[in-house]
Amino acid sequence: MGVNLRGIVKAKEITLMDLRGKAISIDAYNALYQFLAIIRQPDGTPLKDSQGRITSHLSGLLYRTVNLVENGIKPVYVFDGKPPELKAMEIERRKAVKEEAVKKYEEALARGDLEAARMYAQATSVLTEDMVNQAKRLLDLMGIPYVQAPSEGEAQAAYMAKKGDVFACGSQDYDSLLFGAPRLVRNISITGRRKLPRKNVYIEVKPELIVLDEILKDLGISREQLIDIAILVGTDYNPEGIKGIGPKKALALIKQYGSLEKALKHIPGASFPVDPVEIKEIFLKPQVTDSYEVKWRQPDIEGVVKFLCGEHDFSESRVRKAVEKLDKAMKETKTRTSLDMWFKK
Amino acid sequence: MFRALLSDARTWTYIVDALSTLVDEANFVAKPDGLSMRAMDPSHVAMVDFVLPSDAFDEYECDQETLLGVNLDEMKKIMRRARSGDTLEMIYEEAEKRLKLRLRGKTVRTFSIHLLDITAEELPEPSVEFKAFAIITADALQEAVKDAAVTSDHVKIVIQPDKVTFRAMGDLGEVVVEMGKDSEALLDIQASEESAATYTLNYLADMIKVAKAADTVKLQLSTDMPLRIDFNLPGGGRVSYFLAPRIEGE
Repeated sequence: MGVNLRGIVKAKEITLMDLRGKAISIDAYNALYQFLAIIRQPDGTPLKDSQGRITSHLSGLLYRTVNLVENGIKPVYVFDGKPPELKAMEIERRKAVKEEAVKKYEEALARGDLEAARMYAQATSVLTEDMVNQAKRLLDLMGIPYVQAPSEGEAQAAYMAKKGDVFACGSQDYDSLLFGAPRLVRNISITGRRKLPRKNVYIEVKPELIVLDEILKDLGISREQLIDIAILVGTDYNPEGIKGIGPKKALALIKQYGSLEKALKHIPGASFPVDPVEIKEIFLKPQVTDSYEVKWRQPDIEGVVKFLCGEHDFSESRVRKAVEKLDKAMKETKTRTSLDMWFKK
Repeated sequence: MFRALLSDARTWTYIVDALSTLVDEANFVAKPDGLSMRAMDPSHVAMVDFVLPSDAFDEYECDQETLLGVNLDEMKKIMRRARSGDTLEMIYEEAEKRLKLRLRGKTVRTFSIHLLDITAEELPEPSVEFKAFAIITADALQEAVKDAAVTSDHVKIVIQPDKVTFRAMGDLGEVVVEMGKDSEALLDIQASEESAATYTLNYLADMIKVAKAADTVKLQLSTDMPLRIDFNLPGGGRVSYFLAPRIEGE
């Protein structure tokens, strides 16, 4: 879910070409959930193989990753580890939302409302351990690196960006900014034409870049204050936030009183399910690891074909074409250098 | 304050054309001793370093360092309106944060553009020790780049003590352009060792656009290192490019 800062955070529209030659750490769960939500048949049924196993996540991962590498981008996927205990409530909430969505999906199907069925189906996606393992296996075969985060994936991705191992974090959520990522790229895994739910309207989704230093300067606040704002609006650890406070109001409150602690004295009836100080700690001192390797290899073309076509009934001609494109693009990416290598540090 | 006059407006047209191929927006730095710009393309493959000293202008006034952030496409559109024989006067309007470009020919035309606040880190020059250089005519470079593009999207440039070679290999064929010591196109050459590196033609094709404003060009490189291209502008000033190499195989 992540924190919603849309109202106050300014993003610059960019193109994938602007990211040419750059490594981007992509929030794997975020991307896989998006593939599961979007890659569905008109009635909301996800793609499945002959044994009934869902394959939407693998299809999205393959074609989207090939597309990124063809644009000269070097993706590295970051997988969530064990969630912090504070997140238990949000996890429960998500489960409840999904159960509700499954009910509504089945009702819509029963009354033959395909449009509604598809909409509810998008919210029913569950990413199982098997699916995560399949995704990792596919990445291995494709020669794309992934990192297993000890806890929150966004925290690990932000840490890698801070260290300079990647240029930016790729996610739909703004949380990586709270974790200190210098740059965030949104819409990286879903660029293209998208249909608006319930309307026969298509919109063009373009990637956007958000630079932490620029937004902090623009808003006149520190990163800690941005975290304070997020806590007022609602984070994964206190999903409800404080009633009636959105990003703009939260910004005004933090700017007026300086900090969350001081602002709370002036918000009658503000309450938190968990200690807000602990939430702040998670963002400021997240659990991250240095034991990872970020290296891109040529894909194992036959391996990918065997896995996706042999085990999961993908069309061989389409998969082969995609992996051959990946093979070519990866070679091209490896031959390209940037002037950064010759700037004296 | 800043005011500068060029008796041939087209010189500026060529310069702006060349700069705009790499970046959309960038800062010109006006100083008492001249005008300059250093900018890198978004993917950091190429960098441009432009200097036009005050005495290259017919008139030049600048009392303190001033940053002029411009949208180069906008400026390019204006300069496309320059006619042969026009003079160009640039005037910085401090109070309004605008730059006026005045073209004076049969009529007097004044274009104003709003200046932008562009935050850009100061760029250092790439540190490369060049082992070889060749000075060739600007049009010979233009032709060589076009020849190479017939078969490939990249070109290997080789500088030996007695000749410079452009070699492009495509899936279907090969193109070799040689300029030896007996060639009219080669004006000077020096190589402490044979040096060769491969570069992307897309970028080179953009860079040679400024060749129209220059007579000769100096190429400097070392094996698998960036290429430096210097176009010396007649009347003083230069446009230099750095281009990162492609490194084949592992």
